[in-house]
Formats: sequence, C-alpha cells, structure tokens
Amino acid sequence: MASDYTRFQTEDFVLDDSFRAYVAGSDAAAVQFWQGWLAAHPAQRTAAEQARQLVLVLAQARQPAAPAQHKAEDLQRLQRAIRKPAVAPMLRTQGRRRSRLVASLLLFLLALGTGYGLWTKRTLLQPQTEYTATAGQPRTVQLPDGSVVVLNGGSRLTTATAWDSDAPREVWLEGEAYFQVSHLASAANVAFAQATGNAKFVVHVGELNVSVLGTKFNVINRPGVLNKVTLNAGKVLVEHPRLLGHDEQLMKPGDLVEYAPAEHNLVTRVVKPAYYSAWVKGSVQFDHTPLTEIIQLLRDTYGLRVTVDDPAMLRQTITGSLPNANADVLLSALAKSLGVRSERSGQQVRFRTLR
Amino acid sequence: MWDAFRQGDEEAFTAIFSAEYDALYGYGMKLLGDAELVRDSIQEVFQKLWERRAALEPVEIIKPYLFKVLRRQISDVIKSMNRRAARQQAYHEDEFAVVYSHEDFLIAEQFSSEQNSRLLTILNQLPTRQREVIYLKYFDGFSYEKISEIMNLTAQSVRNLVYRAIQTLKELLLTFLVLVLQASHR
Repeated sequence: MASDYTRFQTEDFVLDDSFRAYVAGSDAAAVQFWQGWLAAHPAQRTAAEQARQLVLVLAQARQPAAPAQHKAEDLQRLQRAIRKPAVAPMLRTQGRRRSRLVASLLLFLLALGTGYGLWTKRTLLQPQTEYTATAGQPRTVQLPDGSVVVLNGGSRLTTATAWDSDAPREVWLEGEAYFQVSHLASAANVAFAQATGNAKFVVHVGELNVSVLGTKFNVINRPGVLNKVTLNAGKVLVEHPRLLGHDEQLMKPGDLVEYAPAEHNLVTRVVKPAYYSAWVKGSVQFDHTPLTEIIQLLRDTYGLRVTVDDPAMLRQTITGSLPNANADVLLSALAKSLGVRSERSGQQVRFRTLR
Repeated sequence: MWDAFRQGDEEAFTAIFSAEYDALYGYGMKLLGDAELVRDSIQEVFQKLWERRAALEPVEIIKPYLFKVLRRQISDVIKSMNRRAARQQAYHEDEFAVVYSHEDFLIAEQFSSEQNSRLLTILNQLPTRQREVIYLKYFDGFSYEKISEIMNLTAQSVRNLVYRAIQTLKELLLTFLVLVLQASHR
C-alpha cells in the first residue's frame, strides 16, 4: 500500500486491487485498512463512494457458460481428430498439382457415386420420408442427424427414413430451404474428398449437388429463378455433374453460387448471405443498403425484374427491418419506405414516382 | 499439465480443453459473434496445438496463452472474410467490435434492469479496444500484464485503456446511479 491515496481520483480507486478487495469484502486486512483510512480522510469520501459503486457495477460481470452440447460435441471432435493420422487441410492441395489431380479424381468418383446413390434411392424404393411446406407457410424440420431445415412455403424435401452411419447424408429439395447442418466430421478442416462415412451431407437440388460437412446455407430452386446457393457460415462444395466430369465451386461465407443453364456453368458472386436467408425470420434487416442491391436480391430470390421511373431512386438507401413473407409483401414495404408506388405484372415490377 | 500435454499426454490435453473451453467460447463470441465460426476457431487452435506440441515452448499460465492464440486465429478468420466480401469499411488491424448484452451481467438486487440497460449502452459505445480490455479484465479477471500479452500491447497502454473506460463509465453512469439510488432511498 505504497500509493498516495490522498491524490487518488475515483478511477484510481476503482483500479486499486486492495480497494476492490475492500468493496468485495474478500480480504479482512483490506477492509480494516480502508475503513480506517476513509474515516481519517473525509475529503476523499465522495471519490471513494463513487468508486465503490463502480466496482459493484463491474462486479456484476459474469461469463455465461458455453452451451454444454457445443462443449461435448467439440471435445469429441477434438478427440477423434487427435487419434487419427493428420489429415491434409482442405485448401492446401491447390498448390500441388499431383494431389490436386488425385483430389479431383476422387471428387469425380464421388460425383458418380452420388449419381448412383440417386439412382438406387429412386429405383430401389428405400422407405422415404417427405416433408412439404404449404404455400406461404414456412416449416421447420429436424432431420435424424439433428440438422435443422427451414422449408420455405411451397417447398418439398425428401430423404431416406432411416439414415445409414457409413453413407453420406442425402436429401432432395424442390423449392427453397435454409439448412443448419450438424457437423459429424472429426477434423475441423477435413477436405470434402476425404470425408468418409456420414461426415458429408448432400443436398440434391435441380441440376446441382451441394455438399457440406456442417454449416449454414440457403438453397433456392424455384421456377423462374436460377438455381442458387448462398453460404452464411462454414464451407460448401457445389457440384454440377455433367456427362463428362463436373463443375465444382468451393464456397466461402458470403458467396453466392448460381447455375446458369444457358452457359452450363457455375457462377460465383459475393453477396450478403443474411439477406438471402432472412425469409426464415419473416423479415429482412437492411442497413444503408442501396436500392440497386435490393433490386438484385429481388431478382435472385424471386426472379423479379425491377425497373424505376426515375434513375435518382437507384441512389437511395434503405435502413430498417422490412417484412418479406413473400415477394408482394416485401415489394409493398419497400415501396412504402421509398415513397413510391410499385406496379407488378407477372415478373415485371415498376417503381413509379408519386405525384 | 502443459508439460504432460507437450509430451503427448492426450488426457492432459483434453483436460486443458475442457477447463478452458467456456472462457475461450465466451471471449470468441465477443470477438466474432458467430457460434459456428467460434467453435471452428477453437477446434482449429487445439488441433494445431496438438500437431505442433513437440515444438511448443513451456507455458507457465495456460489461459492467457490460449486467449492470445485464439485471438490471432479469429483475426485471421475476420481478415479472410473481409477480403472476400470486399467490405467498404476498412478493417483496422486487430480491432474487434465487442458487443455486450444482457446475459453478460447478473442483475444484482441493488441494480434495476434500467440501470443494466444503461450500463450496456455505455459499454457498447466505448472505443473497440477499451471494450475488449474491459472484457478481459472484468470477465476473465486477467492482470494488465496478461492482457498486454493477449492483445499485443504494452502493459501501460492496457492500463490507460482501462483507465479511460472507467473514466467514461464514471461520467455517464454515476449521475444516473445517484439518481436511482436516491429514488430508492425514499
């Protein structure tokens, strides 16, 4: 206690360990010292009282425990990883041509394998479960592995009723869905080509196979809208099987991958994935978002072509939460916040200035 | 424990993981806010530690060391995400937008929920580094020296950051506290 407490200000008291012990009552010697000292130094009492209150406020800080389930799962994942020979981290194969070749061969085999799986599943009549969401009513489904799927209205998801622990997890989607896939792979960074057993989760959608190990992403396959995937977190591999070989795109969070049937290839863009999965919550949160970006979103998610009367509108930005239960709800909310009138005919939308 | 782990003791290693998981998770969530990315980052940190165990230095106190490694890992994750998203706002080297929420504070009897909200508002308006320092000091109870190790700053600048944060809290919170306390005394 060498400090000169008479020069102390509130902040100094707050930061003094012995003073904090006195407030907490955790150290009898400190309590005795400070009681005596404060009695002898009335000039410092206000500062000390302020400091006492701040110490009490800060003492409320508590660290919430991590969810026990996460902890248990992550410990298992770690144990599995360290008991195995090290696996090559995913992207490292890029630099080495030979291993890359091997990896693409493996992927090709996997693509053939999934094609085969599709064929067998569809023809051998394995018992299947079908989940459907009626139009305008999104539905949440829990799969046998604990993964959660939010099906948008009018969508259908089909999967085997019983899941095999040594085969990839597979589902077939028509429409739109948001996936939160449980991570079953042992290593954090295992490559898709090396994923064994049920580590891989495959969504078959339109022309595409979307493979993941555990992540959050949104998939759209609706009439009039290009088949597309947006990734919120984790890693996703999108494949487009072709007669010979296949296209593949490894996605990072924030990517949108789209299949353009005219060019027969996959196109990647960077977007804000939260906008694309916002239908799950029933509203989309914009933050100084330019209208041009929202027009692109309307085109990506609903296949709408928006034109504006006045190009100045395009420079406006939107902030706030808009309902997006369906295209019309979102359009009318958008028109309201822009102060314009929206006219829709089929897939064409026109924003008109109010006069 | 650390030495046993460096010699390849699996039990010692998983014991370290279990003992520090909650604190690392809490800190990671403050830095990153996405549970899946935080879990992947913790996993990555521990798997790398296991791979490199033979080459690791002795560490006297494990926790701040793990915090430091996790912080670096998360910084890399954020950097690679920002590069890809080509964000307009520049990412400042090693600054994390820590956000405090209601779960972070026990509502003690003498404090109203209004006071708690007020406290959160003030904390969340502090500059980013001050917010992180406050977290490490008051939630994890690290000393200035340990915080300086974790955040790669000098102990003196950590001290200054805490001091400035307390100063702001004093100015903004105390007038409010006094009012409420007087009201409750009546």
